[in-house]
Amino acid sequence: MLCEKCKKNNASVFYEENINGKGRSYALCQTCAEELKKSGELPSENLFESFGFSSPITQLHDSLFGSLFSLGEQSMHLNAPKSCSACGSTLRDLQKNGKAGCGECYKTFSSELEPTIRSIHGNARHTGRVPEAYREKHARYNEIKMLRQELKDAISKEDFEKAATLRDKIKELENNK
Amino acid sequence: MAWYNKIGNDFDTVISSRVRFARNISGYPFASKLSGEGAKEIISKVSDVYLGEGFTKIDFSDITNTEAASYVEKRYVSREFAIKKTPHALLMNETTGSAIMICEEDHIRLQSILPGLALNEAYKIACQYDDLLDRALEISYDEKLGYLTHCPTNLGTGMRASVMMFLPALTMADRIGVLASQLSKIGLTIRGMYGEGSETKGCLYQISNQVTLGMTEEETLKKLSDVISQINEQERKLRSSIRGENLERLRDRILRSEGILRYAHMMSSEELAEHFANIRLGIALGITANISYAMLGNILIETLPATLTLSLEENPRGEAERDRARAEYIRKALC
Repeated sequence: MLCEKCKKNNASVFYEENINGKGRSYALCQTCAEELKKSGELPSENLFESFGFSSPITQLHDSLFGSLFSLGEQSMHLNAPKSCSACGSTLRDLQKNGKAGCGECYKTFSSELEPTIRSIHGNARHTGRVPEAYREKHARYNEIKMLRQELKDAISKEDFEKAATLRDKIKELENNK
Repeated sequence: MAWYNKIGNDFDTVISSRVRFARNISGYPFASKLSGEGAKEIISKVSDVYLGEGFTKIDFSDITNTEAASYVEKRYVSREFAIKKTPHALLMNETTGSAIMICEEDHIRLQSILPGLALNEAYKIACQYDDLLDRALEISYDEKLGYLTHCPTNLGTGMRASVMMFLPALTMADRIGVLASQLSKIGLTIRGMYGEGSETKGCLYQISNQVTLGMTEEETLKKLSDVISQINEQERKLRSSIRGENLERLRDRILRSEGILRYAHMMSSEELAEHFANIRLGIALGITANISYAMLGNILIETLPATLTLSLEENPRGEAERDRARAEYIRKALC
């Protein structure tokens, strides 16, 4: 594979970016990667250079990542005075770093971040392992989800007796929060 | 015994399998906003969970740059972790192939690494240690977003599963680029041995999941395993299609590499990577009968610059001395 920058040498340094859910991979030769480093886009790291590791393209990767939160800028009211009550981060901070300041940031800015999160993962609802403290709640959520599907099926089959039972069951589970 | 000294399933194409979880403790800000004091508290709390479980603690503030770089070479920690200036520590359990980075990008990065194709086994071990954490500390979690992580790319399961593959035939056939673009379409990614941006030395590639939200851990592992078995099939098919003169040329190249490793007195890491790939393929094809996978795996890691430096009585003065020491290590190992 040839280097994408000079198109002469064989590419030996690879990195990927993922912006707005669109992935793209780049391939560079050592010389072009070094040039990027000299121009300041890739700060060098002495520890690893002294052991002959390749230049830390991760730095470039990180700066590309920084734009993760810039997605959906219109919906992110950048001038909003809102800041996270736990760590003091503002939306601007999140956008600048491409990372959240603390767990609370995700709650504070949930509506602004949702489009970004959805575009990264193509989904915005967790499924999988759950900490013990949340297990019961999570199981109830899954059961309600399953019953809703059954209710939909029952209605489409005009089995109203079953639908009524399912509806009551869902209501009961929802009230048990 | 370390993971790189053992052999595993599908070892002709798969070097190792790794599963890691990203976790954070409630009530503390993420790494970029965490104070030195906060980091020390986290290190102490997490260490308390694991120290009775066969883990050893390594405080990275107390070790040299060379020692830190050696942990990176052995794939127990990330480069970012090794060069951090703020308090950070590692918990290691070589018996189960587990390493826990405390105060990396996330407060806790728990990983289990096993030789060969063993994703489910590595996952089971990681879960076992994750349960211990869950019981002892309150983990930052949201019902909708799952495990909350510093970077939004890890939200959800916080799980990155990766398989290190040895793909010389696909590399020779120039198919890695195509493979990379196919993988990115299905939420997987391929990169060099030491993670993002590293060179694809020795035909070694790491294939891992990109998406962590909206898919269960089991679904992710299944998808990755399916893809790995397809890549395995392609690689093996290509290897077995080498015949006639091409096979003779390949045999010549492999045996020359063996000769060089047995007799050379100077060996750079770059040159070794090339011979490593030739000989590893030679073992798979039954051409190099006197060298085992375990011998070669040990050489690959033990002669990496920082790890090699640590094994010497005196620090080598410059690259030439290191290259000489590397050649010597290899000659002895192959005796």
